Amino acid sequence: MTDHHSHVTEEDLILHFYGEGPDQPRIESHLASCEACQHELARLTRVLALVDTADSFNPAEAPGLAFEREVWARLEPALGAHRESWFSRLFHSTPKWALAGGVAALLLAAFVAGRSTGDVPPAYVAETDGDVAARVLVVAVVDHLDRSQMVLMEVMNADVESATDLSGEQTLARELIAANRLYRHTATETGDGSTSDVLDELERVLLEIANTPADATRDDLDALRARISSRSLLFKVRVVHSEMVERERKTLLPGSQS
Amino acid sequence: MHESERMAGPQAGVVQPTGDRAAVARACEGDSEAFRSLVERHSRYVFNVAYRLTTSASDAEDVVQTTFLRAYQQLSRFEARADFRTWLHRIAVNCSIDLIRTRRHREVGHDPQDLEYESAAGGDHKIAPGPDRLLLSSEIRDRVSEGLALLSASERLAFTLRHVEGLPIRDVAAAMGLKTEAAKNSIFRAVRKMRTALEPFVEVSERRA
Repeated sequence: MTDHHSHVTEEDLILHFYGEGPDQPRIESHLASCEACQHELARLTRVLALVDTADSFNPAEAPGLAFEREVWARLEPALGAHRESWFSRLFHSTPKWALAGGVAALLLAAFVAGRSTGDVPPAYVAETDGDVAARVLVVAVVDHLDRSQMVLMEVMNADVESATDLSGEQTLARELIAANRLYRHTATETGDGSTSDVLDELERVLLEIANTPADATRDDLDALRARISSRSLLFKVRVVHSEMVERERKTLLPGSQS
Repeated sequence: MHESERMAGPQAGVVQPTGDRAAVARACEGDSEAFRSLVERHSRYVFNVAYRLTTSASDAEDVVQTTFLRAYQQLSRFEARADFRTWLHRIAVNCSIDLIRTRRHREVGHDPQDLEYESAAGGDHKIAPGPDRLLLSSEIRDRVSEGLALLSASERLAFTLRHVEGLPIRDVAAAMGLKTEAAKNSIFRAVRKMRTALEPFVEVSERRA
């Protein structure tokens, strides 16, 4: 929308419908006096109301009565591993950085093995203590990459028009650096060069985020974004994350080897 | 549950925040029965969120497992004042998007960030026609399903996250790994396609009425 006399654009009407219009009071003021825009909004609302009515998003058949019990039956062994395994005991008695190294070593060894064979070897999917522990390990690394992506996305999406408080992202970045360093070392030691390279780039950017002034200026943000964008870091992290998620899916659901 | 929960997002449905918080506190202390109660209370809800995003029952079941495992691992990070279902909703959305990206990558070796290449009509989306449910007419459902089938995978995902799951556009962008403008444009395109598909039907229905 431009001024009071111009009609509201379709884009702004859509944003207005969702309560995210750039200038809601102005749009409302225009709508109050413009029949054409009122009519257009009513048409949009009717269509979107129809979408709501149709219930086309939900499954045609709800899960069966035993659904919750089945979910728990599949989930409990993995949780049990988290609570009771040697890994869990280690978690409570070992500094996190040392744990991260152990996690990385086991995970990346399994990851490299998976890559070299092109699939998960049968021994890996057998229900052994080591396998149960591996489930937990894979999830831990997926979580690390998840959190790293979250930091990068927050920086990429921060508001450039005003000074931005990055203190939350910086705290998270600092937490991630030590674990990332050990994952990277382990990746190098296990010969997984591509993962090591991505983690190396990630670590540098995490350090930069951690060391940027908490009330980042537009220039600070631009510099960080340029660093993230110039080498497609977010995309590379996503690729590694995506591979780990696939491994997570296979370790969590050994029967689904699609 | 479906209708009220679907349209009102994570805050709707049978939510027991006090019970949830107490269960989370006990689960953090190692009480597996407490976590079990959370799983039993919310797994159906997580399944429905995941189904709406993945459009596949088997994928939704996988997402339920992954979501609760991640939730369990991150339980100590759960803010006591927050709503557990809202927190779980966010994890389920992220797990669903991870799975969608992985699925695309696995099936066609495609850039996992790019969900644009495949129209939902040509994919494995299972928009089940099913018998008429509740009081809805099958005609409306069919028309909406036809409209949804016109959307690309990313348009459908962005539209579902905004319109059905109720995420602000900024959060839609973050969840999909897009810039905010790109997410907005996906939503605009989706709404335009839905209007094109449904407006003639709306007009006819109104004339009938």
